[in-house]
Amino acid sequence: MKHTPFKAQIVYVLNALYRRTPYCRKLNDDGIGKFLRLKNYSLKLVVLGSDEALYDYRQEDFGNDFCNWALKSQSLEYGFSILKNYFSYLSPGAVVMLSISPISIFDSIETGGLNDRYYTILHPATIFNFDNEKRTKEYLFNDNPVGTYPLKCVRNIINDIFSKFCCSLNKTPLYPICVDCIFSAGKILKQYQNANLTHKCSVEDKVKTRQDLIHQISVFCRDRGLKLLVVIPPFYKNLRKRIDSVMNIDRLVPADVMTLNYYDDISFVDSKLYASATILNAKGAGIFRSKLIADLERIGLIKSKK
Amino acid sequence: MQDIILSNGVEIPRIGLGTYPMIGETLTSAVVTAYKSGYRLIDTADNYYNEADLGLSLQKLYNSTDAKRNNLFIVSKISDELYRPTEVGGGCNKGIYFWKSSPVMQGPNAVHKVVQEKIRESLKRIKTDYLDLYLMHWPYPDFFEDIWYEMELIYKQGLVRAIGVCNCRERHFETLREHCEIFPMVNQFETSPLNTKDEIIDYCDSNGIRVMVYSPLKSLNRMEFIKFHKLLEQLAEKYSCTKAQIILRFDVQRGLIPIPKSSNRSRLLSNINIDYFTLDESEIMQLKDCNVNLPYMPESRSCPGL
Repeated sequence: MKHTPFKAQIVYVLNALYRRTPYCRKLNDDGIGKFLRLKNYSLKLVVLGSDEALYDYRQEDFGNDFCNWALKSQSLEYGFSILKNYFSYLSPGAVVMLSISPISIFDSIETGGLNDRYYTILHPATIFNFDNEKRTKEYLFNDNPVGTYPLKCVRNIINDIFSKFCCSLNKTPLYPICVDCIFSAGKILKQYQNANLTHKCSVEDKVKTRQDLIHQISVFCRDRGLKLLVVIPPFYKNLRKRIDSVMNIDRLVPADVMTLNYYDDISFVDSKLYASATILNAKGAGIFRSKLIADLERIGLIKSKK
Repeated sequence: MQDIILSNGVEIPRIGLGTYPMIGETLTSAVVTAYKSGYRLIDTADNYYNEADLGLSLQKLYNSTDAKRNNLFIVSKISDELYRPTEVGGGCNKGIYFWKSSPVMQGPNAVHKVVQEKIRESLKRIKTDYLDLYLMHWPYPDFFEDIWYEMELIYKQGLVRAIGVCNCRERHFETLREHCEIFPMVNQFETSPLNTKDEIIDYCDSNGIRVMVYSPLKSLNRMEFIKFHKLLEQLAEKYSCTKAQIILRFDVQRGLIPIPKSSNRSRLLSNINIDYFTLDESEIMQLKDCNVNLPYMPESRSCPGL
């Protein structure tokens, strides 16, 4: 669609405004998005995962050979797809950390529009239910969001301005956000908590599916001379109780895969270390990274900086 | 420059002309100029979408010079489809062929049908009865051994004089060694002083596989590697040649077969005119010391599971 110069300028300004909004589905500046901009190579350590991996593993603590390949709301299946597409950027013998949140077993790859973001970064064969029309839209959307979906973008820009205005009048304290997160994560688990036999089977199936997928990732890494390490991050205690009532966390990872488990670590009991039920805040993440790096050094997966 | 002998006794020129993404008159002009400059090897692929133009260019070459089909060494490849440059997201893989998820790969004998159809179409487009070398463009993980089996059949049928692979690693060759009848004669991949790939080159050398180098001059674009560029300038001054000639000479002295692409008359001439000087052992080592394992071409992105 061709625009007159005046219209083109308006579209340009609106695109710039839209890209600043949190609704913009553009890849994050962190995680895999940052890697795709910089294309670091000869990496010795990467982490794959979802929100908790994105926020808990910061580059500065791990050094230049590290890269965060996580993405917000990412399923393990798509984490594996990212590894399949970009593993050539790893050095021989590099360590692939798989950060696994126990509630992620209830995630599904069928999360609608959220998966469309992969069309511009992954090979079609690694995109589930690939649709060529969606791909075209996604490429066009990346270049010109307002030109592709004008109404939606303008609505989101207005929403963003409005929410910023409201927020400046009345800042929401962090603690209720944390409680909200526990509530929403807990809601997913609640149906399993009050489970009948069918639900229990369903949890069993999901754990088994997850185990199989981790096994596939493990074989993929082994064939390419990479080392797989599963990391189970700390969880807020109230959510942990709910998780424990529906599944045994130890069964999530196959026995032959190297694992570092911080799920029950007493260092992370304090609720002041959390930004949400599954994500640590800056202080908590700092403690977590120190512990993780010490453990990686202890088991010889990274060299000590001392 | 003396030819190299492949493991089945076929002679292959030491340097060739890469043709991607040349089409039409540009390609014809490059082919004619290249032939007059001394090139005999021409490299193309079905998904460069220039095989038909190459066929026409060869007809013009035969009519306007003393060139005959048996003077030339024509290489093509069997590949997945790419999005055309004029399409949205042009240049990326389409995922049409050689993936389990592809609809065209679902029927019985799908690999056999696709491979037979592809080689016959390539021959028809290039207007020739045979190819001198036929390569598998990527080690497509879902059908790697099946495609190779079909390529062996094509070789036995006499449609091609030699067969090989592209972008393969040691584990791919070891897989083929276990299952195949004919071991690949050539492996084509990207290497440069910034990405020397010594291990796979040593492996190919010790297993009778000849190495062809695509995009051999891409490293010249990476200006951030100051030491590398200074060394090239120093050597270019010493031997009164261009930086590109130093890199191509480096490749040839390593026993590799570079296939630089150019449509520029003077560059075509200088790229092949590299016999008048020899880099000494210390200079080869200095160039090798520039290695940082930089993958210039996004191999993993083009072919997951590489």
